[in-house]
Amino acid sequence: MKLINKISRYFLFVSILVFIVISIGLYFVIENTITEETDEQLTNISQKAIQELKSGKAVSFSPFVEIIPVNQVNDKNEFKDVLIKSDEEDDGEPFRQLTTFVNMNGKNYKIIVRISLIEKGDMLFSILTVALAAFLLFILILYFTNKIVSKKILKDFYDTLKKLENFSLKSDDQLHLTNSKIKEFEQLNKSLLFLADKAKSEYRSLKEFSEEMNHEIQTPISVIKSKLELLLQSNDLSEDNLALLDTSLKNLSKLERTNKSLLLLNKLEHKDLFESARINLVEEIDNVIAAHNDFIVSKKIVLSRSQKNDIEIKANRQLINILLSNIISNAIKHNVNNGKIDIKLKNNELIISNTGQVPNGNTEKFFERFYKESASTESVGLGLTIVKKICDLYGIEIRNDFSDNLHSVSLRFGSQV
Amino acid sequence: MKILLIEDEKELAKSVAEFIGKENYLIETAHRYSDADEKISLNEYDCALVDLMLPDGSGLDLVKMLKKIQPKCGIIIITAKNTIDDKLTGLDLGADDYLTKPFHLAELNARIKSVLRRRLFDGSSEIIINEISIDTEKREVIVNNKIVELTKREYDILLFFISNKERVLTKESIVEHIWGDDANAFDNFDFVYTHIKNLRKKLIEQGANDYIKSVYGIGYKLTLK
Repeated sequence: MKLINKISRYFLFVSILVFIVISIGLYFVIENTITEETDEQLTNISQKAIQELKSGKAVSFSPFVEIIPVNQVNDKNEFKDVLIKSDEEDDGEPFRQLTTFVNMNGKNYKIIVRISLIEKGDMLFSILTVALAAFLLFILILYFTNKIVSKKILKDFYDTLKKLENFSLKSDDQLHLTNSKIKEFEQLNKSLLFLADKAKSEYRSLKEFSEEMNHEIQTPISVIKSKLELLLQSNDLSEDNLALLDTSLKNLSKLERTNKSLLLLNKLEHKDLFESARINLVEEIDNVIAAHNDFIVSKKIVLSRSQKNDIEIKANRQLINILLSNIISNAIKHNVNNGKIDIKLKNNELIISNTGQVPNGNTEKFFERFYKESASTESVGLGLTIVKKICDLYGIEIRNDFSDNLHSVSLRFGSQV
Repeated sequence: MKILLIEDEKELAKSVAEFIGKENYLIETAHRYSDADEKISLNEYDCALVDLMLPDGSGLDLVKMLKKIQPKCGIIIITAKNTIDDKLTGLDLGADDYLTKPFHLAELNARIKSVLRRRLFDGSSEIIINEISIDTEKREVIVNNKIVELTKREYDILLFFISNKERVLTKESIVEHIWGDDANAFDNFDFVYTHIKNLRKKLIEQGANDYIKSVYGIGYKLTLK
């Protein structure tokens, strides 16, 4: 819900309450005033009628003035709302009446004066109608005001919002926000610019740090590796010593691979320029499969391929090789013995599917750094992250699916074909 | 054979010198660009190992210099940077090979030998190990005057063993040499064992001695002793 609508909603809700309270209040005030006014008039008329009576004229004009001789006299004057029927079918008209008693010349009279209340009803009705109309007008004005407000006043805000949406820590572009005449928005922009600058510089230093660390780590790894390999050559090592060396070397190699992968990832995130060439995808797949043939054979995996067409892409050869190698080696690694790998190339889509265990997690998670589906100790968990980054670099659409015990990765080549 | 090792990391240079020192090479080490510059202009070398990142200069300039004044010298670039561009520039400048850190000492040793073979004997060198002789140009292995039919993998493994004879080779270094750096991400190397088993069988069948010994758990060693 838009901010302005949210505000309006509360505003409208409160207005309705206020209108109801005002209308009710108005009704009672007006009714009271009218009643008081009517009663005053009734008293006047009643006194006039008494004066007339004193002067000998008994003015009787039903239903407005009635003079009835009675036996008993009641001291109390009584105001009352009554309905008086003019004919049989009628529901009766509302009147306000004043009943007074006078004793004149030894005779008792009951004097009733009445005023019609029809006008009062009309008046209340009119007042409520006007109030309602005013309320509708108010809503209408609110609606248009909102439109104008969101267009004019919130323009700066939406502008900032849009720029923030397009803001990326990775890009070199600075965040530029338009100046606003509204104090709060200007304040917001200032804070955002400060925040963006800070985030950018932190991101940059973190990136530089990780890159430097990747580089720095390589030298000690090289030294340790060479020393362990030299140690391996000494003749007086026991089996236990060899086993210790073996474990050390294996773990060192894992560290080395992790580091190399991170270096590549850094470079991909940097969007470094990679030299491009026209690459025949079928040929590249052939190469990767040839390089992995021993692994496929040793797991007794049946490989099937179908190529409907040739496809050429413009990209860096080594990166495409890494892309295909990572996908295909995953298809081997996560396969079962005597399993299957199927490579399908049709139009601009390449689908590599393999048999394997049902994944526990969300297949989208496969692209996350260091995500490991199995506890296989040799894999680092960066292969598919690299795949994803290469795809991002070349605008290749990648999808990870799992159905019918087949895990498949599909690549859709777009612009670079 | 005279080898020039240009490497600023002293401990790594020491390891390399010690490992390849067993090959009866004369090894000279330079830790700085200026040292290397001086050595190149004073002495002749058969092979130079050049680290691209030196504290006082770029190894690429040394490669250029070597190509100019010592065109016969084989050049292997060693670098910590795994950038594709550096590799291309290095090879374009005339380097024979390119190796990224961290590397297996056995791998470097095999590369040096391969470069020396190509450089010094125009690729037609024959390696003779007792009754086994290998023609590296034709990629032929002959035992007792009979050609041993080896697969490409078996031949490559044999050559790697022979380049590193009397040394323990880990399974991992063999896998990396034959199948490339990324192959180590796999958990199962049973096929290495199969290839080596077949290689040994074929050699023995032709009457060769079984020189390849397995080293408990860790790898293999080709030993003539």
